[in-house]
Amino acid sequence: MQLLTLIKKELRQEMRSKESIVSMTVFGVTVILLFAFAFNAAPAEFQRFLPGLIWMTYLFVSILGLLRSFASEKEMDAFAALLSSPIDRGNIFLAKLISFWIFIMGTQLLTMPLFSAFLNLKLGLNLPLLSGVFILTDWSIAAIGVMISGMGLRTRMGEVLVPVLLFPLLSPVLIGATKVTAGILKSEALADFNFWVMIILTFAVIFTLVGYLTFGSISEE
Amino acid sequence: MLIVKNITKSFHHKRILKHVSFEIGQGEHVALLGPNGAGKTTLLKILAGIVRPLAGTAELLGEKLFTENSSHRRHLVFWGHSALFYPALTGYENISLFLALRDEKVSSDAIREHLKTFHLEGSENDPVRTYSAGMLQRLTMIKLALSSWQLGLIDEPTTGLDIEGLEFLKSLSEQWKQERKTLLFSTHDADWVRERADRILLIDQGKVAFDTREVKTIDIQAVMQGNF
Repeated sequence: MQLLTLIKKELRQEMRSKESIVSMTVFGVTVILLFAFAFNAAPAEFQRFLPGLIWMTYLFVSILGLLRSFASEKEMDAFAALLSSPIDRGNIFLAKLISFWIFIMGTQLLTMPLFSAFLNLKLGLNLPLLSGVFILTDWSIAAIGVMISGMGLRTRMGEVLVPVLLFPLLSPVLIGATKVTAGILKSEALADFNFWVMIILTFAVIFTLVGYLTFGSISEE
Repeated sequence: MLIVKNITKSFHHKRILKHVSFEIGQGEHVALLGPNGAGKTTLLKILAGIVRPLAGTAELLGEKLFTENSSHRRHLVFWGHSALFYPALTGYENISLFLALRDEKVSSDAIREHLKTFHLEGSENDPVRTYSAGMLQRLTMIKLALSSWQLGLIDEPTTGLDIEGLEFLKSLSEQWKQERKTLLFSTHDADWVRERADRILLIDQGKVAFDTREVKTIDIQAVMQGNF
């Protein structure tokens, strides 16, 4: 029940301010357009590095969103009110994770058509499988990102800490997502990239559990 | 009611609190005094679960603090220097959220009635980002008035209050006294201490330097300046 209250609070704040979705979407659109005009390659050539471009774009978009993910708690120190409330701190983490997961997927829904329009991304029959990869990878990014952002909340170096810790931790997930996306776009058999799906899944499970169990300790001063 | 033993805390290798120990009985209103940087706010934040102590233990109504179990926080409420609200949410939404997270069933009519009593009607649907410091203090008072708690941890409650706000706070303080709710509050307002406190705890250089229940007879200004 408290988890639901916290998620509703996150969504209501975002609906009111639109700070995360707007900044993430505008940034995503800018990067995609930049890629579209910077690469002067034949459409077939794009297919080789398109998966990498997609995930590089959403890495930057995610970091932008994560840097703002606790902004509403910082402004009037509402985080102190959360910590002094009789709620399980793991639920604070889960609510942030789920809401950020929704925000990043919302941003992707708004920006993915641009990859099709400008960079020749062929969604078509690949859409169901690609959606599965995006849902899973976004969860991993959100779990790792929210945990690191929570750590950064109580340190003066928070804004430096987030990208410094996030890049190495996200690398295996993003490499995996790139490999799986490439495999799907090339219509390879699932068994060929099964290993990478397992990597992303493992990171999603581990960081969700670690974040849930340790968020109390890492978020206190 | 509250038992604090050997609380120690450091920030950036600087020892802020050094083995702070004291006990507070049910219904006591205790003024936490001390110069700036003495560790008053840190102590209140530790007891509220916002800051983790380096060492020491505490019990509230027999339940241990500083554990992963969150149930003891149902008995306490924290009122800090900052407003502790979500700026994009309205006054009404912030109060509802605070109560929902404490699992307290309070009707929307009761919330609106309190907003009216504390002269915030007409602003209840505005984001709190637009509120003045005094309005935020009143909204905090509504949070405390509508929720059930046993220990109030309050950091300089009179700061930023106008005359009317002070009257609201005095009235609440009297109500809490009648309800035997316990308060541990920091302040630099000697008159407030003289009128409202049953006991003084002076924190100086991270330690409990002075502890007395002779609030009406001692020179509070002198105590605040370290002469006791």
